[in-house]
Amino acid sequence: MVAGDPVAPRPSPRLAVRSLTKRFGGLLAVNGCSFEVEAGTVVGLIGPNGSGKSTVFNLITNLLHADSGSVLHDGAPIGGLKLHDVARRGIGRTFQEVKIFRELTVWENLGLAALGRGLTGWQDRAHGLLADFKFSHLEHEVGENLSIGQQRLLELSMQLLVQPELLLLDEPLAGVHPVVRDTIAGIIRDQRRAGRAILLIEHDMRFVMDLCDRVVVMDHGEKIADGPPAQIRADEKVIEALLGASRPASQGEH
Amino acid sequence: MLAVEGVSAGYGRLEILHKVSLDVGPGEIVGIIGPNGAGKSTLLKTIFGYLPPFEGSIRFAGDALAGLSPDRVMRQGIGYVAQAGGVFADMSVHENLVLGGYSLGSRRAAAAAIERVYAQFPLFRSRAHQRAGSLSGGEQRALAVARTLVVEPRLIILDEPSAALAPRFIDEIYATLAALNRSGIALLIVEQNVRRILDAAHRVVVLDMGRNAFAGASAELRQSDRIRRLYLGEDAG
Amino acid sequence: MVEEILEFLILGLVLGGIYALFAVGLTLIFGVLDIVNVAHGEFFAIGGYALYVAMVLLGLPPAVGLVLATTVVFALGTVVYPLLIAPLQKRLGRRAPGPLFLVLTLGLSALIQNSLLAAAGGEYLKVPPAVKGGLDLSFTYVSNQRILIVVVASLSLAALFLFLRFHRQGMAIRAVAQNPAAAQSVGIPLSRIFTLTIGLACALAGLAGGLIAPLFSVYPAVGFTLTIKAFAITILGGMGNLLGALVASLIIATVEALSVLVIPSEWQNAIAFGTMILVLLVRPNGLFGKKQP
Repeated sequence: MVAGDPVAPRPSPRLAVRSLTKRFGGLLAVNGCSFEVEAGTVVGLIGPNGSGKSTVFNLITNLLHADSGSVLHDGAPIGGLKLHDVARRGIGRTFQEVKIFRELTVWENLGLAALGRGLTGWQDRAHGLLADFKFSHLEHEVGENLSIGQQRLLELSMQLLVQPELLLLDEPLAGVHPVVRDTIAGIIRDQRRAGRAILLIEHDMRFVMDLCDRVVVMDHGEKIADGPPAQIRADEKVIEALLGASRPASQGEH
Repeated sequence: MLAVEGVSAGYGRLEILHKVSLDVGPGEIVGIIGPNGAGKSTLLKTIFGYLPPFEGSIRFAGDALAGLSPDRVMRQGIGYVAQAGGVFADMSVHENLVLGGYSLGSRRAAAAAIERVYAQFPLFRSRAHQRAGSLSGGEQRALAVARTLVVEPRLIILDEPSAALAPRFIDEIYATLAALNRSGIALLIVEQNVRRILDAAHRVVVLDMGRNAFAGASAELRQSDRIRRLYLGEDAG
Repeated sequence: MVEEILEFLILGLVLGGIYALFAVGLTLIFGVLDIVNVAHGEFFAIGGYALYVAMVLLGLPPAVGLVLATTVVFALGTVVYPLLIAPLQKRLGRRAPGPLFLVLTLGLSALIQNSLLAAAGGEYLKVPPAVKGGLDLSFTYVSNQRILIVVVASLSLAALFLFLRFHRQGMAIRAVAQNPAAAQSVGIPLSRIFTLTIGLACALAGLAGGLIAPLFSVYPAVGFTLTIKAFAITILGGMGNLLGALVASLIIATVEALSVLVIPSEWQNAIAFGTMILVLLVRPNGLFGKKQP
């Protein structure tokens, strides 16, 4: 598989989130959330609806500005950076509602991704990625006409093409056929082997527990657990949060 | 009473539900649970007509519902309480109830029905002219339920009645629902809060990734490990 | 000086009545269907033409003519949703590009204007006033036609507001504007409400067209300037806000009327937009904010 060039080891965690807090009017969406993602690991971010997972993602990539707290990439704060600067630092992100250029062909999409980063000589790697994902026959197909699974693979390829060192995946499996799920799991494993750091939000528990080295669990905006899958499964607080009967500690009455 | 068979549905090219089936008998409370992304809300929306199914059949008291728009489905005797924002926030409590009786034809015809609802929910009588959006979350949820009662439905469909509510409001809503069920109304409830629905429902249907996973009487499922294993990804499938 | 101001204030009231009938209807369509009806001015024009036909060609009395004109435009308005909008909505659903319906109504506008041109020619047709004579005030003379405009406009708008507030179908219209999903869940059929809404809004425009026909003359593009101005008015009042549209209409009309005292009349049309820009700088959501019919 074209996993890309292996990543050189770095001292600090690839990504460190420290005490992130974000309010939307009266709603405390994220309350003092902290965790780390090391290079060469896959961390899963899970929690019930409304727990703040997507908000955390948006805070990390600067789509939203935190009220307090910081986000560190390789030890350097990236809080005030513009979105394209965040991308240029080697931080890639996919979206819950898959974002590709629908009117362009698969090849053009990849070309744009490369162009955005000023890459040259990307064509070989692009061909390699297409071959790995069994996409080569769709090279000239317009994005609109791909199935959801194929669109997600394309979005992922666009990120992989520019070889980000830190990859943030927002529900990469939503709406995707089981076979494609396996392909995506395989891609993530390869990226981990190549030393990349990966943070993903997913609802498919089987997928998360099988794949992730660590799982961070959020509920009502707070981190309630952080550890390897086996530990998380046995955690009473996590079970309560996922199955209900949780009480919002710091929320006001609704 | 409600028979859903082999229903597939979704948005455009995205298929969210795949050949899902369930049924609700008269006077039953049936819960629908499942991990996120299981398609629970989509199923309710398809049954009530907000989404047309790709395939499958939906029958209520023998009449086919598939393909009917929500305003026709509700006239079969089914009420719908949305997940959030179900009330007309900029209208008064009274106007909300008046609209609840829209399908009765004239405001006069609805007046008696509305009186009955006020008797059941005395809280709303004193707040009749208050703007619905200024009610608390729990009260708005109760208003949405009360509104469906104006036309005396035989089945009420609820999408996460406990969502975004503080625990004591959840207690109140479920107490209201229990009372309604005792008066003979069947309930089909999607819930995130598994504990609550296992307490409240007679039977629970579990969806996973858009398909039927398993189902059973709440008493049984409460004892079994299956739900916990599903939600924590321990199931082999 | 005071007398001049008063004279222009009265003119502002008359114009304001017309603008209000027009802008409130436009806002109603936007609030309920989320569509900008670029063809609204053409329904205004049809109102004038219908009155011409009724009074000049058929010799009917003015009251009958006005009622007929309004009814004709209402009927035409009810055809717009089922014939033009519904089929497209059905085909495209969620994938409809944003400006689609705006362009659709733009096309409708061109279609109607050209049809009027073809059917009636481009001359400025004259319609006699509905009522003759006038009121002699010490500082000015106000024609009865102008008084009629203010009275009819006020009564019609009052009737509309009462309808929306208290009548079952009026409440249904408000419900659809606020929360279409909840409206459906109580049994309100969306397509019927959409049809009724456009019909009512166009009827108001047609009424305005009939009322002002004796003063403005009737010609195919008579609605054009008014449509442009009405966009400014509806944004000024807060998109989707009926009361806002009403108040903004009166404000713009008054400012326009008074401005004649200080600026050349060629700049009149800039008044509406100038005022709108100034207000938006301070209150970006318009005077009353969005959507509250």
